Amino acid sequence: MLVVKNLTKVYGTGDISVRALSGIDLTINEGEYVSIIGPSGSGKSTLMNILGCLDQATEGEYILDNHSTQTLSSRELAVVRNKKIGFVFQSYHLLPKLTALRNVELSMIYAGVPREERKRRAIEALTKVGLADRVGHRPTELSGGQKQRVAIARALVNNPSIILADEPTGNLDTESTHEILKLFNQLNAEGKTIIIVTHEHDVAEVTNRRLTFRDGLMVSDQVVIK
Amino acid sequence: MSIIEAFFISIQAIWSNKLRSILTMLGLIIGISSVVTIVSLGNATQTAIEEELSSLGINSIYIYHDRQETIKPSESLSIDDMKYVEKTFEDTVLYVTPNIEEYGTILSDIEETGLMLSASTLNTDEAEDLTLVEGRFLNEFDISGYKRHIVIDSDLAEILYGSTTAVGNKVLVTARKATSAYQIVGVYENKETLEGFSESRAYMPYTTMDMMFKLQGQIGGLKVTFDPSVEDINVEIQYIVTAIERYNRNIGEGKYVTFSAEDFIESVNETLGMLTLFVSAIAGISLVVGGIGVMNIMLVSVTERTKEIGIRKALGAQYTDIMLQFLIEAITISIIGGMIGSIFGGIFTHFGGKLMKMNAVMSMNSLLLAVVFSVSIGLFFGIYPANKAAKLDPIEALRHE
Repeated sequence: MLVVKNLTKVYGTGDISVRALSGIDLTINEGEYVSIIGPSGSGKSTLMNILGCLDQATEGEYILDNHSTQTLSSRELAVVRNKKIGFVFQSYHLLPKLTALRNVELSMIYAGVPREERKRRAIEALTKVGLADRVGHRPTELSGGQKQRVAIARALVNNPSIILADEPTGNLDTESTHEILKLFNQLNAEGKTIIIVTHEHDVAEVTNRRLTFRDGLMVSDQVVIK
Repeated sequence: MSIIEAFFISIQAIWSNKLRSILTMLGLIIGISSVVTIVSLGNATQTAIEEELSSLGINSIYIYHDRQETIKPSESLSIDDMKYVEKTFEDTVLYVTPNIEEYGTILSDIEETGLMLSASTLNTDEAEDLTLVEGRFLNEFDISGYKRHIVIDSDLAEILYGSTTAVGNKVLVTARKATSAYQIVGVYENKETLEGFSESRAYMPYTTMDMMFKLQGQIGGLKVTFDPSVEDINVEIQYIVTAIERYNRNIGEGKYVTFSAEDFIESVNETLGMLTLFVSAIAGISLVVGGIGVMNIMLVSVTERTKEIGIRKALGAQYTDIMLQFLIEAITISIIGGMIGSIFGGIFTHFGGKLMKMNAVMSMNSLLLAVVFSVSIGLFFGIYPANKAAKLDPIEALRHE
């Protein structure tokens, strides 16, 4: 479970300071399927970075699984990113020189998982996203949709509590977008908490809860019962 | 992340930039190979000189005048002193031989060449460990009869007479502006010497030499060869020096100094050590230059891989993980460079040794030095770039294109 209280983020100081988020209150329960929508500059990426523990808020509180993240050191934040959060990025962010398998193994290396187990779990995750036959391929040998599926496998492999996807379909064609969203649906059905940041309404429509952001404020919180 | 993981990552990174990695290593290869070669050849020279010098007689000690002191004629080392020591210390001393040398020229019927003239007693052949190849050594009649007989070395014999026999020939020897005729009675074998240590030499009876050069019994020094049963020749020689002082009535005035092969080896080693150190220091500069190359390429690598660092951090890499990754990469480059450098060092040492006619092998010291050096270079020059990488802000790094 993820609880955000009066979350505020200010970049810079004094006259040139920019208020990216101004006092967000939000609770996302385990197993929710949430989209964050808003135009660029609305603060959704800032929120995403804070929720992903890549950044810390200027004011307010972010409680992840009953632990406040506000006072964590950068070392502790790294541990949280490693164990509790799975990232999926718009431009995949795979290491180009590593095979799909090695890319998926990365977060397990930092978790200290032994070599054999790492390989087993990476293959398992790649199989789950339908890439069992692409294990030895490098990112350049994969299509956009396949790359994003490798990224999803990588996000899943440490069994995190939340999957944070930042414009996951932004670089994909309609068919691949469909595939990826289907995968997210499946993962959510299995109980994963999924948060998708997007500016595409088609994407937001697949989720059960839509948060709309504008100018650093959350302007609507819609729960859709399908 | 374990060091082994970091090592695999670094091998991957080095391999995917082969040319760049090799060029970076080149600086270290040159540096390490030169240091290894210099240190190894220095060690080999030292060993060779030690062997050479101990063949001069580790059981022998020379007594000379102290050059800082004024020596009255009555205090000069003399033939009398030699005979006195021989008689007084007959239990511990095998031979006492005089050290009288004059530089001169020798002229056969057709050839003329420079040589060193040395005084000889009956025992000089044994004291100097000379092996005859032709004729005989000087005998008691040569000495008591002031005979103008000489024994020359085999190289000199070849210069003067080629392959024909030297013994029995008459030669003219010029020294101290005086020329006299001598007869060659024997030829002794040149010892295997290091390049530059060999010189032409002829021995003549000390009596003849004393007479020819009007030395009036005075000699430059004495070589005392001890019986191998003497435990500490350095102690024993002090008794002899004291006895000579008493004999010449200058006891305790310190007019005489002693010098052993051991002392000589020590002083040669000291000089050689300094020389090796000096040349190594110059070669060491290339190691520093190589290290700067490593640092430079690591900085480029960090900039190029900013995004990779961002991804790794997003996936949970900590400061120490990234630090370790880049540090290990720098050290791996250095160690590979060091290993290749050591191999080249070994090859250079081998050929250098052949060139210098020595049996030179790469010493463990130099290999250890190479390993220590390359690890330290990697560590020292890798820390700054690695720290720079590890400190990157994950969001900034992820955005980097």
